[in-house]
Amino acid sequence: MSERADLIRSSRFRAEREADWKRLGEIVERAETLGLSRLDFDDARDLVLLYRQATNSLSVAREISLDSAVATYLESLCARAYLVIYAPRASLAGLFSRFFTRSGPAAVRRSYRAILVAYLLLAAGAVAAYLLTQNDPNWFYAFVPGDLAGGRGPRASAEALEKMIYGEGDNQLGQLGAFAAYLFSHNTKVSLFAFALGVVFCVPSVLLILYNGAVLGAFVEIHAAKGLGVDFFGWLSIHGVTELSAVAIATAGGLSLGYAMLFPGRRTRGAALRHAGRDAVKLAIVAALMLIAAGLLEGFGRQLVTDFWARIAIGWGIGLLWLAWFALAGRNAAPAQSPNLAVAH
Amino acid sequence: MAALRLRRKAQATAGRPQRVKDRRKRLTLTPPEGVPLHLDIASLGARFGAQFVDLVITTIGLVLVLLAFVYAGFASPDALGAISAFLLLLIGAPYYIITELLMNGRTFGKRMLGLRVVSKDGSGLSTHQIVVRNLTKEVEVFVPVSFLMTGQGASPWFVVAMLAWLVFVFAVPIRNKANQRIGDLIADTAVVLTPKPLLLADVAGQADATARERFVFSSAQLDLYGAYELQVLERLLRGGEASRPGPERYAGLAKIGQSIRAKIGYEETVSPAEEEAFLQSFYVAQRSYLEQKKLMGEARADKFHREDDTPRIDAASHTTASAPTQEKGTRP
Repeated sequence: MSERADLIRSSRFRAEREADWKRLGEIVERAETLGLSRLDFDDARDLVLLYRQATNSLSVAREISLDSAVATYLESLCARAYLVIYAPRASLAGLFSRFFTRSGPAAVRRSYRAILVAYLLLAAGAVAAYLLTQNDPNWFYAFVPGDLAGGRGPRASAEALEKMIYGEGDNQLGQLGAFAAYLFSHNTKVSLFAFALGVVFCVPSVLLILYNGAVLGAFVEIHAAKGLGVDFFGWLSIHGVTELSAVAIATAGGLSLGYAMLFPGRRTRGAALRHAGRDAVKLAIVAALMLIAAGLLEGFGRQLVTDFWARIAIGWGIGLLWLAWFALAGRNAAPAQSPNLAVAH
Repeated sequence: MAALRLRRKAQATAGRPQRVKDRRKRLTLTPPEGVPLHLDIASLGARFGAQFVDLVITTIGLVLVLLAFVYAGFASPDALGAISAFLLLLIGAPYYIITELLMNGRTFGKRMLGLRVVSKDGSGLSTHQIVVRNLTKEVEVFVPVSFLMTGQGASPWFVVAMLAWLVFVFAVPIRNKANQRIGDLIADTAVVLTPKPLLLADVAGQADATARERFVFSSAQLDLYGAYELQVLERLLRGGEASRPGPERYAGLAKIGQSIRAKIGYEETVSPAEEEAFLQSFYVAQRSYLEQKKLMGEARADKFHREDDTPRIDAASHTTASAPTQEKGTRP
């Protein structure tokens, strides 16, 4: 480099630093292919230092150099290194344990008002449909779509309904098949839409959960009219406690999104939505887990367990377990956020 | 970078001929270090490509796992139905969330096409953002498409509504400045091309000292051009479009050399063999001169720098924070 003493300033600037840039490029390349944790000691130690130097060089080069090659190169190099250095560093195991022990139940606790509202709307829909169907059985057909009724209706005989409840019907799929058919069925769709469409100022969520309550109420009424109310309660309990809670929680997520849109407070609507989204997304995940659990209960439990009291015990027992998880998990943990979240905000 | 600044400038001063045809969308990120970085936004074609690769990969994975179950003797159709339903769930949002989380914002498809997800606010990509953008994708695309594909007996209004929704979903990223889809907007993320650092040689280093002593330019001669012309010359010397050394390249250099000499009023004649050395010397002298000017607070974007004194300040105040001071200097 001695013969380059006459180089112009920006070329000297480049010549002095080029080796460091190249080394940073190599470390970043290795980190991308091997993973950050498998860098050797020297590389790991120098990565951040070299990155800081490179960003420095970039900002200086923009000011003093008209060598477009340097500016373009440094820009790509810094961007590449930035992406490696600020990569999400959460491990899957850590992520799951944090969700299950802290952030999931904490989000449910924080959203208890929305969840209560969702349950109340569900109950309101059920009561209204019960009363309407009691007055005029034809209302049943208004509430319950054909594929969901599955042969049940106001005109079905008590024996037929009882068969359905106690699993001797001829339309039973296999136990797992029921689960499979179930997973994409009614309640999953309702939960998904009640969550996602809540953004539109809560209206679709409210309508959906009222409607879901109405379906429930109509079913209860046709069974109660035939004196099978208690049996239906048992049949519904085994999976319904979990399933309807999942619908309510998903709806609560949608409601909190819609609430943020309606009353953003001092934030902009977008900011309020993003803020509400942090808990709403966790509610959605909780609801998804509950739906899968409900699917398993429906697939195995409903056909295997036909005893009335066992059904009640399993259904409400599992409901209590959910409640205990929501109410107790991670209570005394300080609201310590993950390093990643702390960076984000 | 300079090209970007030029383009902005070209937009700001509408009277000028617009020279840079570069219409790529770019995203400006400001990392915690405070130096803005400009990343190329991934085109919608590339993103569809990545999505397609992911769909192929997940489908192949699904089929392989199912075949393994069949082979292992779990052949009861009910069980297979349940397992496939469960796997179908897994290859939706969970696949995208886990791959983007573990591979730093890249699914296998994005990796293959050189794309990655970045957080628009310049901090690292958080778990929450990854979860949000992929859960939203489920609602945005997967569920409506699966309804359309499996929805026998659905009312025509429902189908029309779903189609309208899909049109809306695809219109959002087309209209968006950073090609963000709805999920990206909610999660505040964008998909960019993975930058590829490539350091080209310094053209100023190629000029040898004897040539620079042979060709000397006065500051009046160097006063004519700006950074844009300098970089055109740089591309030319680097090879640019006609990089093969051959008679055409030398003829091109001679033509450029002549027009430069005519413009700056360079008296001496230059033999064709010396043409490249002349241009290199001129490049070095011009760059050094312009860099000196820039350092003193007078950045010259192009050869029109003499004409516009007043609009220049306006244009400069519109440029981004990337160059906060350089164009606002007072001129002598």
